[in-house]
Amino acid sequence: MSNISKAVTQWANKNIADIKGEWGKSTIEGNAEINFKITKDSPDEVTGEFTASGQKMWMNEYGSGSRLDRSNPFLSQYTSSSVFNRERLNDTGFEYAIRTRPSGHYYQDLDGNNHRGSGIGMPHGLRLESKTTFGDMAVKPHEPKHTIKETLTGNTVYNEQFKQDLLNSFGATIQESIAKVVRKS
Amino acid sequence: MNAFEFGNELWNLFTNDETLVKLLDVDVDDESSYVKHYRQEDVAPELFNVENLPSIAFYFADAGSTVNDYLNLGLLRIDIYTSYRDDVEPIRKRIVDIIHERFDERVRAEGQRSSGITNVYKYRLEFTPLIFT
Repeated sequence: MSNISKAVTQWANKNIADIKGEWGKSTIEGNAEINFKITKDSPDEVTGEFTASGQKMWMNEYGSGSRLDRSNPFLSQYTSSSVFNRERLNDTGFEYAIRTRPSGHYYQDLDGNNHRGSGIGMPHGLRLESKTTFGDMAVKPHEPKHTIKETLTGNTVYNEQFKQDLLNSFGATIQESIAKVVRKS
Repeated sequence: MNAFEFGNELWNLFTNDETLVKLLDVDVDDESSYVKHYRQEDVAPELFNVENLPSIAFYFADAGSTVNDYLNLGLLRIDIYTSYRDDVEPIRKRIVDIIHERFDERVRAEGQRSSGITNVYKYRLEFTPLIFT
């Protein structure tokens, strides 16, 4: 592994630990995973890739129910998928609010777990977020936290330190390359 | 000072500073009011009580090694939670002044963070003081 790859991987791992710590504080149910790997490590280019998955990850990043982040670039993909309850789009003034599903209707959550609809308030269902209707049983929507974006791109000590580490490792790489050329000649 | 001693010193400084106490709306006649407005750990949004605003949370999130075996570079985070963005500025200023006066430390990074709670503004300051290993 090159010096630059090492610096990038170290930065990524520190930020991943931070992101997981932030997710760990959340009571949102489901899975949340994030990984990083170097995909190319050549003398003229180093690239890496983050992959993140899981329902808890999605809800932490982009919120849930009526608090869903409308600027989520994957929103249309989600709302047109089979996991999404389309009745949530038809409640004027309460778009995206979480609603009950038809009785006997099986659906999957974002982690692929099967659930069965309650059938309450059919044919269009009831707004589960409503405290007036459901009281303490009401489902609480979550604000989007954008943890990944804020951690990886925000003004933080880790990200500032990374710039310095990158410069240092770049310098070390050049020094090693020059030494190799000198040895050969 | 190690990280815990540093944290305790911060607690003493922050809770004894009249300006900060006022800015955080601490009820000085009620001891329990202090722990509501000053937290020494990272706060989970779902467990956060909006009635305790404004408040601050200060804790060491990490520490990295240095060339000196006896000293690490700590990552001290101070999160400021308020109802309004404008409330942050005087609190931030007082905290920065206190830390500068006592430890001669400067802010290394800062910025707004999503609190995860409706109508709660979160602002994070990061310092990197040297702490004993």
